[in-house]
Amino acid sequence: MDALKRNNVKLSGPEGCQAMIFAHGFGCDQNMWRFVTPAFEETYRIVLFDHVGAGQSDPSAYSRGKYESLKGYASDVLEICRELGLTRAIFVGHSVSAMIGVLAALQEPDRFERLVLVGPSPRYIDDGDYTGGFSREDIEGLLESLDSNYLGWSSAMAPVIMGNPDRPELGSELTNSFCRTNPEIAKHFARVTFLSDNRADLPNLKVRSLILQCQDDAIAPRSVGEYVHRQIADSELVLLEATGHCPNLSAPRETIAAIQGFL
Amino acid sequence: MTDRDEIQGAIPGDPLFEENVEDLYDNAPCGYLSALPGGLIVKVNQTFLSWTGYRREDLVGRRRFQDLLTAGGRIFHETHYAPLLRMQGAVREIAVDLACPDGRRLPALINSVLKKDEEGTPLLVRTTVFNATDRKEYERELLRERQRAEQETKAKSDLISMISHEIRTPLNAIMGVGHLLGMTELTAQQQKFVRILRSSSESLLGLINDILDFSKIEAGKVSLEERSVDLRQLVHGLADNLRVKAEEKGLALAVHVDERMPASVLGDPIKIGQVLTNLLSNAIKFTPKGSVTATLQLRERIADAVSIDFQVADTGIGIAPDRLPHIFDEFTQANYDIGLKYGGTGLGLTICKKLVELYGSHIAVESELGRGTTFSFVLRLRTPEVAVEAAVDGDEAGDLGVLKGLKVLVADDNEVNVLVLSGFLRKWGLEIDVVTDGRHAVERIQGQDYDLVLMDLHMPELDGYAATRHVRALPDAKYARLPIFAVSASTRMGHQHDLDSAGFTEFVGKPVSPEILFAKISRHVCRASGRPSDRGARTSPPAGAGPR
Repeated sequence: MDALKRNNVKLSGPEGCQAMIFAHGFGCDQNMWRFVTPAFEETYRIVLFDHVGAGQSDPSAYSRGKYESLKGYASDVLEICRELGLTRAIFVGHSVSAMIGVLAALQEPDRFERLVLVGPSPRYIDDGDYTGGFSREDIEGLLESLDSNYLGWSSAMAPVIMGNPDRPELGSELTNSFCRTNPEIAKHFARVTFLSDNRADLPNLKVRSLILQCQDDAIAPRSVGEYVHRQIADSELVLLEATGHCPNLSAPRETIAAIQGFL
Repeated sequence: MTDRDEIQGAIPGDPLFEENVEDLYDNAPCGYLSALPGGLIVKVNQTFLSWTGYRREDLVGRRRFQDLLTAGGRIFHETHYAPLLRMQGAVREIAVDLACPDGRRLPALINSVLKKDEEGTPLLVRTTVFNATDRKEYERELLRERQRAEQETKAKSDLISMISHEIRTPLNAIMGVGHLLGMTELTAQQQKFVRILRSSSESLLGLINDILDFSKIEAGKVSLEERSVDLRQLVHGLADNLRVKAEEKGLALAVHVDERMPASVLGDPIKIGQVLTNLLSNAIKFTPKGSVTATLQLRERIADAVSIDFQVADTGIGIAPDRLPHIFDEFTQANYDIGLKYGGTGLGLTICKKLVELYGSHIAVESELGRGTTFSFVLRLRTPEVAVEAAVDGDEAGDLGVLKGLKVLVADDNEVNVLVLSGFLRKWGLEIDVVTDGRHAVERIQGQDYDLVLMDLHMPELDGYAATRHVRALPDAKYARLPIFAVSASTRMGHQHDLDSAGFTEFVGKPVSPEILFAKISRHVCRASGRPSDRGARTSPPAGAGPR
């Protein structure tokens, strides 16, 4: 089946402009970019999509074999680029999607002019001198959390936009649930993500990259951001005032400014 | 003292209606917690403190909410809870484990809302905490029960699968040998015995097929293939297979296909064929005199799809009105005597119903006792953009001599299977070589040029799938073109993908039906070897073959 349908690709912004692809991170869907994309909508062709298993992507396209490694997700990204005929695009990837972008850019470098990596981490589990931030038990704990939230999952993901009087324009357009992730796929994605090790891929990246590092990010700590910056030759590291792991949601203005500064 | 339960006479301002707000908050039946958007706790109620064992002074202004979670919970908090809260302004019923200072873990259910100012900037996160210790137990119990039920179902369906497979192998021998026997010189009495032998084994085969299909559908292991189908050819072919049975009873068997029917549609020929065959053979079975008619009508053409009405009508014994609603239930037949008189498992119609339901449609039935019955269903099928040559499921017979001299390699580790296959193949004039495992098959194929390989799927050393993959991977282009048929006692249903990815050209089910085998060989091998095949000419099937 075609990639645009499979990944629920949504396009906006003027055709013919440079493409800006936004890849959501783990545990979410393309809606996580909603506070950021408006700033670029006038001057870039915005490409939003959901990874297979997330949002409104086609769950039947999921196969454990293909998505046993992040390369499966990277090939989806390249397929989307191919179908839209994208070259020299900007790729903005959050969390695990930052690495997915790196893998895609390694395979077809001409597709991307620049990469923006928001909270990237090439490996989450500590390894000797390398501090990923987690132990294997921590990851098992995450999977248990996903398990316990299975039964309550659908209610947690139901739309609550009605209670948003300060942003009434949001209410009308959001008739679907956010972050609707198939629980089994979510668990597998979690396992694949948190057990991945892509440190060796970083030095081979030739595409110019921006790394956005938050203060006090429990998932991608500062040491990891600095590591990624060291390993990617042509890269810039910007330390944001924002805390937490999702500056695109908690500090969208700062995030937008940082990206604009880079482009 | 006045009785406080009597409301009459009480007035607003009466202390009865005024609860102390601090008390209300602090001693609520749930835990309350307020935090800054980054997580720093600014207010917490007594209930929460009592449940967890924390002291107020250790939390307020000191710890963040996420610090109270277990390690895995903290990751979940950052990757799921926090983004959701930002995006939606609230999260409902998230299950977390709170780490208590004494080392205990408290399972909790939390609900949070984000309080924002007039500009929409988040100010506070307000969370209620519900002690979910009991609930957790219920959940675990439910999950355990569900897993157990799933395991049982899987075990049952695996058992049925295995049994059916085991039964098919000796049944193949019985049917095959019965066939071969029928081709020899027999006395009239022996011919009668052979007829009984063959019809009984066919019934047994029908029963096993039904049970296996039914259990596969129940287990949700059946999905729809999408390939190019010529419905006209499909339904004519199916009717031809049943014509002998109809003629034996003196019934007229007619097929009417709408002239406007497109030459090809995208559908699953096996499943659609199965439904039609079931309905047609039922109709023939239950009609003592008169006719059985299959009708395909084009109802609607919408964009890239067509809506087709399928109907099978007979002038048979009919179904009583009170039995009509139950006719599709499993193991149910129209009445008790039907089983005795006509046999059958009572699964056929259930399978039809479920297969049609896979297409999002349903089967309807109309009947009148003593007059006849009509089954009908509508399918919406897409039409391919480019006219693709339709795949017919091997129901075409060709000239007997067309296979003479072709070289076949039979790979099968079962002596009786080999005996049966060779019997047919030699009769048709083919030269046969036999190997008993996949490894030898691959070697032989490389040593000699064969026109066809009949590969059993389950063999020791190297099975049929692996052997075929091996052959297809060989450098010479001729090995990509070599017709390799998968021969197996398993039904094709559910395995099409595996068969395709291994590189098989065609599939032949055991017990092997000689005329289906003949038709498939003539179609694939003659095309591959450049011989003229007799497509389009409707000649009668090879002698000695029976229907199905």
